[in-house]
Amino acid sequence: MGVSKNQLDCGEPTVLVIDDSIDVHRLLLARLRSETLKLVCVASGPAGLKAVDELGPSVILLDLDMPLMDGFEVLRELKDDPSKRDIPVIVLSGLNSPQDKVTAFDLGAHDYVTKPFDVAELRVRVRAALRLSRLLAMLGQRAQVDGLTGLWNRGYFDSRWAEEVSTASRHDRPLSLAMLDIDHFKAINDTFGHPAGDAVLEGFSEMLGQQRRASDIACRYGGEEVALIMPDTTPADALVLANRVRAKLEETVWKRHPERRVTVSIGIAGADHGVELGAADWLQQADEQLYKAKQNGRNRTEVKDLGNKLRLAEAG
Amino acid sequence: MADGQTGKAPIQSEFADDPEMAELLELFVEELPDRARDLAEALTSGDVNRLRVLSHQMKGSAPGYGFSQLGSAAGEIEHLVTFGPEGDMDLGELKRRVDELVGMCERVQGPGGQAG
Repeated sequence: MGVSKNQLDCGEPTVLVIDDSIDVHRLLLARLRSETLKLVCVASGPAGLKAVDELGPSVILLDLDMPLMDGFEVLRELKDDPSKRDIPVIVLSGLNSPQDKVTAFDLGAHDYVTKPFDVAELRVRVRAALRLSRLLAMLGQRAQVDGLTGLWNRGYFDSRWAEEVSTASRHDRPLSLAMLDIDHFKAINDTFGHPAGDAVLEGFSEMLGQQRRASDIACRYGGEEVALIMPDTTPADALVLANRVRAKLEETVWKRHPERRVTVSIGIAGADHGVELGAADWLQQADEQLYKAKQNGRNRTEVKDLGNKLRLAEAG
Repeated sequence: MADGQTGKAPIQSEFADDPEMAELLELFVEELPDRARDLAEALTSGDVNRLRVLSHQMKGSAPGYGFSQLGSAAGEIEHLVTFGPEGDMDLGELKRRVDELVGMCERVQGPGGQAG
């Protein structure tokens, strides 16, 4: 299904080393150089927790015997935080009593390697932890991805849209939202059957995935309606992208019904800089523009520049 | 374990032929005299805590560079200062161990065979 199409991040995973010994940093850097990963080393527990926040590592290699804050405490803090809980932690320690191992696993460690470590063994254990991390990420993502189209689902849209609105307002950045609704979708379903309707949704989503820029976020909002969040994009630029998408869809030749054309109506609400408007109201503005596009004959885009009101108010 | 019979033989890393390790070994061997001096100084100044930290570090790191002999000698020192009887610790025994480790450090050879 579509999960891998647009959504998965395929960059090199980051592995964070938290160990107070510079020798261990050096050895790991040399010994894991040949692996497909980015190694970052820090020398204390507090620095490690900070680095986890900043880097979002895929796997953590954690020493136990450290001054200030020992590894057990770091582990406890990681497991108490829902956003960090699922990062696999490999304890890499000179402590090798069964009691230390039991405590580490009880606290949620994924694996336990004793120092001095065997190079070949450490490599495969790191690979196993990365495999687990990848599967967990995929699992988490699947819950947020629409099964038919491979786009983000409604639940993801709701939280991401609220986030983007508050980011734009905080940093006084442009932001635009487009609501796209396939024209006469019910007629397609009624005339050609639901599999044909599904094929249109899939084809449309795939095309949208190709046309959108890397920073745009495409979500299936409901039925045949798709929301496109465009961070750092003015309504004027959003209009250009929307019309490109609209033209592409109109040009698309459908395998089973080459004589048929499918079109989309689009409503955009955007602002050149941060505006005082909540996520729900902003969404409603985009919906109203979509309604207007349908009223004005479909296969067209209507835009509302939310920044105008503010500028007029400033001018007056 | 180093003893009277091998006490003079040069010590080579178990990874001397591993190209991945060449650069690191050179660095380690270069820094080894400093580490040995730190150990000796901690002993003469009677800084048991410092001795514990230094021996703990060497126990953990030396085997990684292919010097397991140094690692276990350091481990025995750490054990001695951590679990040795407090107050009347056997200083003679401790001194003998540290001297032995410092001696080993002096016999370590770099990847190119040069003395450490």
